[in-house]
Amino acid sequence: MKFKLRHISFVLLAVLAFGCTESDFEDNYYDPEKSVAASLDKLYTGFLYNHNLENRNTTFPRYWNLFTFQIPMLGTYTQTNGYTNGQKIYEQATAYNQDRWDYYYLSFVASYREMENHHEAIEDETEKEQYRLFMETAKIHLYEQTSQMVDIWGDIPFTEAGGLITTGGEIVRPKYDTAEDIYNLMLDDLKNISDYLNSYVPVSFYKSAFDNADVLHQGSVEKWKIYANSLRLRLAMRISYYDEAKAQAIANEILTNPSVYPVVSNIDETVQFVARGTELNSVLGHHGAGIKDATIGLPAPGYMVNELMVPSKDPRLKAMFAENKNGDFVGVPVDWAGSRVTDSLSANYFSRLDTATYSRNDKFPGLIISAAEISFFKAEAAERWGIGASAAESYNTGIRQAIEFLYHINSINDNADGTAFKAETPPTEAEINAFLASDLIAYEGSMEEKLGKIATQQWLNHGLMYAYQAWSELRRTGYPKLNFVNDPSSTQSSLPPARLLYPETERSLNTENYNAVAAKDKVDVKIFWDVK
Amino acid sequence: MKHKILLTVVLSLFLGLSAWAQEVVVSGTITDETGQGIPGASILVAGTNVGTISDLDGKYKLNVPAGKTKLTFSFVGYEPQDVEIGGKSTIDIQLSPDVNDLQEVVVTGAMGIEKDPRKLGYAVSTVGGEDIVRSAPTNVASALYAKAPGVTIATNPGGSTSAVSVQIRGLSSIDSQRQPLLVVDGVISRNGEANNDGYWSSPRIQGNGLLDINPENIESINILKGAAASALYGSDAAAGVIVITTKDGGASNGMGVDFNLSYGIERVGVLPDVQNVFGPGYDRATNMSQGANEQGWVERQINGQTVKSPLFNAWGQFGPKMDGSDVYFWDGQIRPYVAYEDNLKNFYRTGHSGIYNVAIHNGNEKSNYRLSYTRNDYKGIMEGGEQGKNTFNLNSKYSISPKLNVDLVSTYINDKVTNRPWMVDRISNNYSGFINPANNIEWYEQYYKTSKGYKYITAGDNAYDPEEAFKLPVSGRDYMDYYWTQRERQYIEQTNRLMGAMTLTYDILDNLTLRGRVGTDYTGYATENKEPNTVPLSVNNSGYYSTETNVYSIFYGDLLLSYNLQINDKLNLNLRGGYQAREENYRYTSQNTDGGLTQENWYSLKASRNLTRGSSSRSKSIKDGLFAMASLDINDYLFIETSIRQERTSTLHFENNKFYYPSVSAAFELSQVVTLPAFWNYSKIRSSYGVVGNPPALYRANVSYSAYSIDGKPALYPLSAYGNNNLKNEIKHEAEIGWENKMFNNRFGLNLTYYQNKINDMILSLQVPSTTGAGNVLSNVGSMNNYGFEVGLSVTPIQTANWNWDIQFNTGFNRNEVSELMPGLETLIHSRPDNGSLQIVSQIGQPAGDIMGYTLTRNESGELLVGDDGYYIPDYSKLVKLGNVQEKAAGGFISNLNFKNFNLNTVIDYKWGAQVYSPSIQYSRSAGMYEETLFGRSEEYGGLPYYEAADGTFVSAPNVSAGPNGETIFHDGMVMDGVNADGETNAIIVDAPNYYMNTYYWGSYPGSGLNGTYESAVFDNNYIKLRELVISYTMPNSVTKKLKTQNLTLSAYGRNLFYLYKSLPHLDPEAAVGTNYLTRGGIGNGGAASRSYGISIRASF
Repeated sequence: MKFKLRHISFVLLAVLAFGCTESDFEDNYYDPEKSVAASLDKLYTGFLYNHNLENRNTTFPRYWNLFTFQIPMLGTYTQTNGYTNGQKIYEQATAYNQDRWDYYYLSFVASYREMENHHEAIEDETEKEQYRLFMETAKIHLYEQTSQMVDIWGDIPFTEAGGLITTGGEIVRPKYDTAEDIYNLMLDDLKNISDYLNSYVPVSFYKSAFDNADVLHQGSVEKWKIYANSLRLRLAMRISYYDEAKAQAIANEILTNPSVYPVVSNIDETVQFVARGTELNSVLGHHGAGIKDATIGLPAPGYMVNELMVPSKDPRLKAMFAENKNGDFVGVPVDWAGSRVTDSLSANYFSRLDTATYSRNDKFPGLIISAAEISFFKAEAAERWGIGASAAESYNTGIRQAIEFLYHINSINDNADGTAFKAETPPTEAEINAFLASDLIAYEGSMEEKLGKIATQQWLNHGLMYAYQAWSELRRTGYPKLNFVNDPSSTQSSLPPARLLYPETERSLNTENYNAVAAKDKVDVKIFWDVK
Repeated sequence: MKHKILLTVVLSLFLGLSAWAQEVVVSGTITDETGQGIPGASILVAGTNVGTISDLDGKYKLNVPAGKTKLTFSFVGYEPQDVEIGGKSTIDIQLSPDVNDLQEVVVTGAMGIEKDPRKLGYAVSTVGGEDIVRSAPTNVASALYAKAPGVTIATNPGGSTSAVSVQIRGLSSIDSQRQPLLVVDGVISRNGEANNDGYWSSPRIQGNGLLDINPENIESINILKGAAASALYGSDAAAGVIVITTKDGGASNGMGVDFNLSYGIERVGVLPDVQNVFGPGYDRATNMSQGANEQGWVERQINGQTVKSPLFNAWGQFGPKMDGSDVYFWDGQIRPYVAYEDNLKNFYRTGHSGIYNVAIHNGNEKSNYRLSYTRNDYKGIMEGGEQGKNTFNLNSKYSISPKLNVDLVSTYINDKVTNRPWMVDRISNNYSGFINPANNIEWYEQYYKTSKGYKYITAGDNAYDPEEAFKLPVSGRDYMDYYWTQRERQYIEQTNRLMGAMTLTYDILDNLTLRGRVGTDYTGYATENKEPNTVPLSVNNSGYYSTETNVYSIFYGDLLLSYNLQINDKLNLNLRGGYQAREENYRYTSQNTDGGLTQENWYSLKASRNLTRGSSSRSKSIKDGLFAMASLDINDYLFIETSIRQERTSTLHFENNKFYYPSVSAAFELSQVVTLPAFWNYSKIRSSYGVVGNPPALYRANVSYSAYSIDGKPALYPLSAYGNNNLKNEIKHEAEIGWENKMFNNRFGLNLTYYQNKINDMILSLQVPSTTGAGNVLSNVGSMNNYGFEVGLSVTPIQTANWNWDIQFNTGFNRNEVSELMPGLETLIHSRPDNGSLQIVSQIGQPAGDIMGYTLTRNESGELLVGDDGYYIPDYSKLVKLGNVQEKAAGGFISNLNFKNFNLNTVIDYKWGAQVYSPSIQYSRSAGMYEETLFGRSEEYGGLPYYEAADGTFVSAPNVSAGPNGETIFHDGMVMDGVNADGETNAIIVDAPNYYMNTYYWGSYPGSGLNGTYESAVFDNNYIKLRELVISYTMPNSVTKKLKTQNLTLSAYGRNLFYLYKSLPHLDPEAAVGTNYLTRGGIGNGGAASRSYGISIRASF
């Protein structure tokens, strides 16, 4: 019997070694690499910089956003980069429309809704009120991103978007808000936010949590005010040909009360993510090499270089482009046949993007609103409505700020990408003055001509990296006057579209709501502010 | 059963040889029911251990000890006979088939419980080891084609390192389809999925765990198809179970050595039918916008000479006809403009496969062992992919005491693969990837790297080395990228896998047995990725090195107590109870360089320009189950069995992770109860019902956040895949009935099964529009059912002294239907290829995996409408069902013909009733790559003559040499067959290049503006294939004796030889990649399938 027991225990022992307990199941349900708990401040940081989809980031120059989305589509429609005529050049890469669309909803909207849930759940009144700072500042950035969406698509789901997060898993298929309603909502709310920020009284315990979580402005409430007002001015100007009275009133309100409604007035106040550390830099090792892989070797655009910058001896040329084999600055003319362009590219006849300022500049910032942009809006407001300082002064200030900021970006390249660049010498005051006095630049002519010059400089200032804004301004103002070659190979878009097509998931998964806007889902339907 | 017989045979042989030579001598011939001699039959003197076996002709001679009066004659599959000697010296005996011993092998069922097939109330398919190794397959699964009804095999292209998908009885889950559970020698082993996320997430064609099971070591494979058969495995069994038993040492009483050598070559099978008439270029207008003339010639001044070139960078192949004239090529050379017809053939190479196996075995009543070593050397037809694999296997049994036995099985696999095949997606599904016939692929092979060893330099990117840069832009550079990836980069995978199981069986009493088993399946998998510098360090930072370690381990254990109770002579009750538990662990770590290598081609983390980056992840899942089972045998003709399992799994929230899986089955042996006609030897009816489940993938149900640190600040993100803490398992209920028959002395067998199942609470990762805030949500939604019919037919039409011909026909038919989705959801969209040009969906009332798309507009009488532009008009108003990705029938035919020492084995298999979609065919047609796109391009291909009027319209101009105003006559006109809006027959002429480019181009979705739809990208995918053909010759005894071998067989084999029929144009019907039914619905971007042929030698000593 003893022998038998020994046999049995031998077998049982093996089994005891692997028998499972209740806690084994509890302990192993959750993925150890994910966080089960969340807090508002961490969600806020995540909201500001969406690391999980960072390759699509629209503020930092990321590979996906630039190379696959912005440059081949918006950049071509705006001629902010050189391109080669070929097959179906104005057609949309619809899969990328999808990714761009999803980026906004899965990062900004989803994160914001999650923040709302957490804010709602705070029981302590003081704490809740103090955490309102997170919510209100987040909304500013949410609106900036939302306006990009509206500017390329028109009507989008907004007020009902993200309902799945709000409800904790229920599928709420959102309706489309009209582009105009969204603009009105943002314009009204940005004022509320600005007023809130003016009245905000910090409690240091909560304020320090905000300072820590705010990766954009490191807790500077003043900078958030500047962001809110500058964004509101941009949005007002965008609708100014559609609803001039409203735009004028807003511009007046902001520009005549700089102490209550400060806007970006110098390059130190630029609304930007400063490149720093291992995540917020530009020549990234993760998710591709960021700005480098996206822009290296890109040829210069034809109109910008050949017809605008070279004739006016623009002092920005040497910081924006490399000289061609002959030591000249030459962009790709849009009316050259494809093989002529490729032959000339092979012969190094065209200038390419400057590597020190752009492609290999690890410190290229995540720019949101520049000083020059605001100055050009001021000039426009002065020219059209007589608001504020003289239009010429704001116009010249804008150009100077654009030059200054470009050379600033050029100078902050710290050769982190293993290069040996030296900062370009900024132009002298004499060079700048000569430039400002040149025919194409000098603030002269009829009002229409002047507005055209402002808009052209606005377009040039958005430049090679911010085709979103450049395309919107081009459609809004009609300047600069660009020629586009008709593409015979396309049955969809033989000329650049007026908007992007909605992504496919909306058509197939949000069908009922999509059908309400389907009639507007055409390449030639203009965004509501695009009336000029 | 087999072991017992083998034991008897060997035993009697042994004893026979040592018998004393003093007694009565009896001799005679043993014949079968047809009068043919039975070789190897056993003759035993009753009551002794004295015996012998019959020779090749069935003759025997035996010394019978004095006083012994009876002989027992027996042979596998025949009824044993006792014969009184009665003083006779010659006893001829005819044996008749044993109808109660239809299959010599026992069936190893769930939990390793061995069963008599006669008593099974459900279908189990058994495949013997010898049927698997016959044509020297590189893995087990691809040898299973046609061998088991209801079991469908799909091989991925790429050869021996590519996964094989096995599907049993149709689709078991709409969204979480899995490979069947793999059980090797009683232990749940790693199998898994591969390549279901498309090219971009995993461009290399991956393998799965089943590939490691060495065919040479397999004794038998039992496939548990229905829920009742596999219910003891509960949540793991929804997709069926493959139970593999490896060879053991038997009781050979002396060392035996088996030796096998196979060597074969592999060549590419089906290739597209490309056109070789026209070079690169487009329609006239586009040619001109590209700087070429109307025909597509560009003229340039090179060194003062005027040279011409077609548009080498064009994706279209509508350029000038290849006329042999001198052309300036993109590499700066002048060559005649001719077609290179074998580019694709030359892209694939000749591969080879060598399998070398040696096994030694020995055994007696107390212990036995088998030790084997196998070496596999493989090189496939696709670039890269060289594999060297060593498999060591030890299978041993030892009897510690008469009541305590221990089995120890272990397999060690060491595998090295360098550059496993890379999918051809970028050269098949990508406009810039197409190679045009004016280019020779050998130039791409030559130019993919510069003479200095860097990556090729395109014409537009020539700043750093203009000498080496191409002179003109050229399309198809993706071929060069492919060569660069597979020839210059090194992606080395080293796998060490150890599978082991120890089983202790303790017979406490004669009828009470306790069995305990522990086992492990441990895989250590390490990779190194070496990417050389693509440009000199002075130009840019490039190069990459990374190393990865994956450890995957399964720790398994079970305990089984069996009690057998003979209640009376009519009733036998068998009770079993047990516990099973399993833990699966996965760990992953990787390190890589960042920002390039500091020294060219120095592959070390020390060479990282920036700080190296690393990542790691882990996962762990736990499952356990308590089970009980009762079997009741009544009168030896009615067998009833029932089981229940209670299970827990960690992949579900701990508050709802417990499930119960019952089963019940009955087998009724009709032939024992009813008097059947004499020819009808055996008939059995069986029926069963069972429940199995399918849990969500690990951690999928979690609702959690991903975390990162941004500039040192913690950041959290909601996941785009939203979980569900209330999730339950998918539950599959299945009932089946079957009827097994044997007739004409077992020369005719018929096995029929009908099954019906229903899957409830399907776990769906419901795709939602991102505007909801998530990409998908996990939920238990709706039901799906399958029903099907399986036929196994075996016939022996010829059975004579010299000839034997066995035929088997196995087939399974399955119908699948989605019966319910969540309220308000009629259609579940799985994917939307090409911006929704197609939708792959599941909809209520239809089988899962419908291919939906748009069609061309027709008028009320069904005629195609042609628009004012002369083209057809897509109808984007509704999606129409164009097909379904599930096959409706699959099976095959096996013929085994013996003539004397020759054997000819043929396996033909087929699949029927599925459709596939092929973007690559669609794109290639739009680019004018394929033969059928020649139509209309010139007079010789049916093109109509016309001239272009001043307003741009085309005017028909037959039999004239110029238009009325001297316009050029073109000969590439086409007229669409159809009517215009007024119902008149269309007569508008369009030009062929525009027709192809605008009809078949990428993306036909609302707003796309195309003139065609993806209806033309959907194809029937039916085929009949000659899967295996093996001719072998077994050396006669006279030769083997001289060679001192026991058995020597030479074979020539062919595998995947050719299609007797296929409905899919241009591609191999099996060229799809992935193990999931939806993924496999798309075809064309994986690579070509190969055909293999070779020879093998098999010998025993």
